[in-house]
Amino acid sequence: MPATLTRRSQIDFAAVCEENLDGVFGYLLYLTGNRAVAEDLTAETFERALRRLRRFDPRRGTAKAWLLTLARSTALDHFRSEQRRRKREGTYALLDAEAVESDVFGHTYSPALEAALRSLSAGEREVVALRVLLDLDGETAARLLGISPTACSTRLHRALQKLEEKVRDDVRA
Amino acid sequence: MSGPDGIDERFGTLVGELRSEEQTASTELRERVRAIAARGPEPPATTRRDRFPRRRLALVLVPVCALVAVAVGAGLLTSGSSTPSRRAFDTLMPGKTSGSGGSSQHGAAFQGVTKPPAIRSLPVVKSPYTGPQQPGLNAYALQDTPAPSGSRHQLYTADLRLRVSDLSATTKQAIRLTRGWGGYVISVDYGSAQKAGEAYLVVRVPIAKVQTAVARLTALGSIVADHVSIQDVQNQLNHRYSRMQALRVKITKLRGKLTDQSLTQSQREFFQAAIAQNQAALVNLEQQQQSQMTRTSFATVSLDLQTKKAAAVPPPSGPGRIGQALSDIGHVLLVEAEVLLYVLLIGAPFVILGVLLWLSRRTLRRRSEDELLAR
Repeated sequence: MPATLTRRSQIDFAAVCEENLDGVFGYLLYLTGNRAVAEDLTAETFERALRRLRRFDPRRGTAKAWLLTLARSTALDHFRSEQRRRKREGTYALLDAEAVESDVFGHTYSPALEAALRSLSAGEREVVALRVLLDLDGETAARLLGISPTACSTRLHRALQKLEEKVRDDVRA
Repeated sequence: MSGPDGIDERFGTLVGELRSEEQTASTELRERVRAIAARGPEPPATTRRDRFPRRRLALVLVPVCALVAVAVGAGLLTSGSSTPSRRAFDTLMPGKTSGSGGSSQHGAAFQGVTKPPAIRSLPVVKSPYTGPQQPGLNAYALQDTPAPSGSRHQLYTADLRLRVSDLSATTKQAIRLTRGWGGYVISVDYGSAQKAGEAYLVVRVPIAKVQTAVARLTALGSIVADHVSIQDVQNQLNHRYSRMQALRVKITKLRGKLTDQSLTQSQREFFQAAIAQNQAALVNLEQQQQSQMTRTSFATVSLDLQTKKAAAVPPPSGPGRIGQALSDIGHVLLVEAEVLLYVLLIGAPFVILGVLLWLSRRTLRRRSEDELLAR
C-alpha cells in the first residue's frame, strides 16, 4: 500500500520520501542528463518538500505529483543559475564535460539508446521520463508541465519518434 | 494506435527498452534523503481552520461585518422618528424625505434674518387630542418653538397642520384658548357640527404667550407639519422713528420762521404749506409706526385642522420602530452597494491591468522555461 501524505492523519513524510525517491531521481536524471547534478537536485527537492509540507493539499493531486512539481521547479532554478553562471564566465566547458559522461541514463541501455537520449533536449527527455519511466497518465503529466494533455501527447510522440530515429541511425552507422 | 497507457504502440520496443532500466538512487543519496526526512518535524495536525484560513476569512468577514454594522447602526439611529438624530440623518441625506414637508426651517429666521419660508415636516407626535379639558402642554413643541425676542420687535408667524379626531370640538377649543390668552380670531372656517373634514382658522395671540400658544395648540392633535417664521422689524421701526424725529425738528424750525414779522405774505403762505405738508407726513409715519408695533405685539398662528380621512398626508401608520429600522438598514445597505459598485467601476481597470501583467509575466516565464528545456 503506497504511503500517502494526508493533512488530517499523521504524516509519514519519511515513507513518502522512501517511496518516491527513485522516481524523483529518475525524472531529474532525465531532465538534467547528469547523475551528480540529479542527485544534488533530488536532495534539494526533498529539502523543499519538507519546508513546504504544510502547503501540500492532497485534494489537488498525489504526493508523487507534488514532489515531481517541486523537482521540476528545483531543476529549472538550477538551469537558470547555470545559464547565468555560463553567461558570466563565458564558457561552456562544463556543458561539454557533462556531455561526454557515459552510462548516464542506465547501465543496461544500449550505447545507441544512451546516445539518442543524450541527443534529446531536456524538455523531450522530461516528457519521456514522466510518461514512460514514471508511467504518469497524460493528464497528470500535462498539468505538471503546464500544458494541455494534447500538447503533452504530441510532445511525447515527437520525442519518441526522434529517439527511435536516432537509435536506428546509430545502429545503421 | 495507442496502447493502454496512451503511448503509440509503434514505440512498443523502445518503451520496453526504456523501462527495462529502473532508475534507482544511490545509497549515498538515499541516506541523504533519509536524513532530511528524519530531521523534519511533523507538521501540526490540521483543523477546520486550516481549510478556511483565518486571513482569508478575515478578508471577507471584516468588510462585511463593518458594512452590516454601519447599516444596522444607521437604521437604529434613525428609526426613532421623534428623536433629533432622525432629523440629523435626514439632513445628511438630502434625498430622504419623510412626511409632507421639505427641509427644516424651524426658527431659522430667529436672529432677524429673513429667509424664504419652508414647510417643515415633523414626525407625528403621539399626543392625540383627548378632550377639551386636557390642559397638557406639548413638551416637544414647547421646547422646539423659538421664543420671540423680548427686546426687539418681530413679526411672528406660525403655521400648524394638525390631525385631530374631533374637528368641531378641537376648533372650539382652539378659539377658547386663544381668547383665554388675550388673543383674538382673525378668521375661522369650519362647520359647527362637523366631526370629520378640515377646518382652517387664523388667530392672533400676544407675542409674550406665543410659545405657550403653539405648545397648547399642537397638543390638540398630532402634528403633521409646522412652519414658524420670525421677521425682525426693529430696524424698520428705528428708521421710521428717525424720520419722524427729523420731521418734528423741521416743523419746529418752520414754525420759528413764521414768527418773523418781516415775512411777506407769500413767504408766510409758503412756510405754512410746508408745515402742513410735513405734519401730514409725520402723522402718516406715526400711524405706520403704531400699526407695525401693534402687529409685532401679536403673533399670527394659522391652524389647519384635519381629521384622519381628510388629511392630505397619509398617516405614517406603517411599520413602526422595528419596521422603520429595517427599512433604514435596507436603505443604508443600498447606499453601500452603490458605493461598492462605484469602487468596483473605478477599480476595474486596475484589476484588468493587474491580470494582464500577471498573464504576460506567466507567458514570459513559460517561454523562458521552454528555452531552458530546449537544450
